[in-house]
Amino acid sequence: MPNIKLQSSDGEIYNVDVEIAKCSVTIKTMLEDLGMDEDEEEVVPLPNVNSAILKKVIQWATYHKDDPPPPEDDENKEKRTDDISSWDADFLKVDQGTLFELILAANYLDIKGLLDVTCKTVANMIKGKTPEEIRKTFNIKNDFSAAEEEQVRKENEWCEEK
Amino acid sequence: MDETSEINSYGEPNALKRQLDLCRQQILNLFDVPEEIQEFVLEMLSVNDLISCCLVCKRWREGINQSGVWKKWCLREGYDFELMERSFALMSEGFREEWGVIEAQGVYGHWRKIYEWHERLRLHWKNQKVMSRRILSSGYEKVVGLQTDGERVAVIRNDSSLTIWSIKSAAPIMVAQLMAVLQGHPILSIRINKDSVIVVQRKLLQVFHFQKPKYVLTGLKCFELGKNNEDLLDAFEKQGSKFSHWYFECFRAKVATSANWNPTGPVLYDVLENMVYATVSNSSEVRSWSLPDCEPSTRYEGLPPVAQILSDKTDLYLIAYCDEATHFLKYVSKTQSFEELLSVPGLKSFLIGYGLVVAYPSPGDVKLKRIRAFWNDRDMGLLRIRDVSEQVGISLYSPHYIAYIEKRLIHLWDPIADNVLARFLVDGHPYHCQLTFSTYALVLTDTSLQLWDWQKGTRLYRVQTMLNVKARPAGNLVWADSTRILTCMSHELEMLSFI
Repeated sequence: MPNIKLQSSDGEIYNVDVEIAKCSVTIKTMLEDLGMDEDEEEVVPLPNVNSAILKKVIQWATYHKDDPPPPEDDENKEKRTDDISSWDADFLKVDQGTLFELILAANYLDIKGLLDVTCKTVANMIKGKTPEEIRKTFNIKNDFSAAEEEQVRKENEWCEEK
Repeated sequence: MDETSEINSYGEPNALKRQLDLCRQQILNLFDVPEEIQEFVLEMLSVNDLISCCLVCKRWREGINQSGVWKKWCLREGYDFELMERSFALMSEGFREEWGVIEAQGVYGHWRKIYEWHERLRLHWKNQKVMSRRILSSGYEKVVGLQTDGERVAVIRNDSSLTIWSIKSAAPIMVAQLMAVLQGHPILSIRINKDSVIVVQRKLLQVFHFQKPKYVLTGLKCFELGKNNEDLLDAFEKQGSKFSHWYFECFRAKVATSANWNPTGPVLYDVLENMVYATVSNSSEVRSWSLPDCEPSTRYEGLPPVAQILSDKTDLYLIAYCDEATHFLKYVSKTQSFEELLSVPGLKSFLIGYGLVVAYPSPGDVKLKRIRAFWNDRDMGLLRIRDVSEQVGISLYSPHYIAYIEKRLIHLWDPIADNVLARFLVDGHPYHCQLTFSTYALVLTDTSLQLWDWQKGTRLYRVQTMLNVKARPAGNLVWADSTRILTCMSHELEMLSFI
């Protein structure tokens, strides 16, 4: 299997199987449209992804290399968030900075499967929680004054019956 | 080395790493990632979750309030801006004030505003355990039907009198009262068109012209849709009413122009942009007259036998049967002609609106038990087919939902997603189902008027009626929009409102 060299923003170079690298639509397009020869020892620079994140992305892509392509999104269908595989759940037990960086990397590299699962993880961190629980999860400081908080609560009273 | 020179050495790993580290400290928040990702995450949350997010911190509150994610919820519930604008004047003072405070804060994005406005309205409906019921007319004669364009409603009585009410504000005002020309003869149909009210009795078409805003009757024009009204002249002379005088004048003035048209069957007509288009059932000719002067205009000949003339707000359509197929023709103003767009074997009835044309079985369609939905564009491509077990009562609603009745079961179907949104069993025999607001549906049965929440399948309200639904098209007995229901349930016109 031919390999390809991916260079992270901080200069680390990773040797990756071309088929695995191609799960990123961005890399796939680069190879196809820019006529990059797979045999040549060329390095693909990825200035938006640092080595720690790139390593994680490659790890994810390697595990998922035989997955069927993800189905097209159906606008009318409610998106499920409870279908994360146990491997992915384990893989995403990371600090929040890393999680959001993985999202940005998946977005930049255009890896739909990874973007899906990372965003679902974030959604799950919010679902069914109280504002205080969300603050704790995301390590956010409550910057409302008591009066402001009361006001926002009042503003949203119409929703409470649901 | 100062920081600027470090950043300037772009491409050099060390400097970039430092930049990224800096970013890394900041990217801890959902609302720092690109908007499309934010929305992607928010779309997976429920409305309750979104509200919880509002209460997290100022940054999140702003992010949620401005987010485009609310569009999804608006589309799902059928909430739109137009409905919100149109209904605003109808709101109670309290509701308007409450909303004014919210608007003044200016913190809500477009879709957030639309969603919350409708949700608040829905809450009002729900909390209003008893709807306010108001009788709009008081006369001696029985009310037999109503017709409305959403701004005015015309009420027809047994004695062929008409009362026009303005329903633009929360408290309706009676603006005009008039008698149709042929006293004692039933009013066959009525249309409200801008400043005119058009009435057909026997074969006489009458155009009552009003001057707004006070609705002063400024003119009456009649023209003959056939010659067999002549026998009435003597009777009118004997009565000596002022209407007979008007009628004489109109008759003499117009008889020459319409004399060469002597329809023998029932006259069909519709109005579009100040033109009346009329034909006789099964004729191959359509005639038009301009309003309000009733001057004869173009004649369209050589059409297949016309069975129906229909207009939506912008276009005119003809339904014609021939060669065992139903032909669907659209009026093209550019060429001033009717062009055939579609031919459907077997199905004879059509509904038009919300970008769709829907063919469905009518009493004559014995074999074909199916509803067909087409896109209403030049190609008229077939969108969806749905099999049904019998003849159906059907109606089409925003955004493009189809409500149809099979025996006692009411279905709500989204033909674009091919999804049955709701199915509920009604007591009594339903004749008419109309979606009104949010997830509410108005159902008219042989003995009652019922209000249902179709999403939950629960009945909210039921009133006994004395309607004779079999004798009249259901659309002439009941009408509803987001805040009101107009009905002639007893012998009077009643308005039920929820605000």
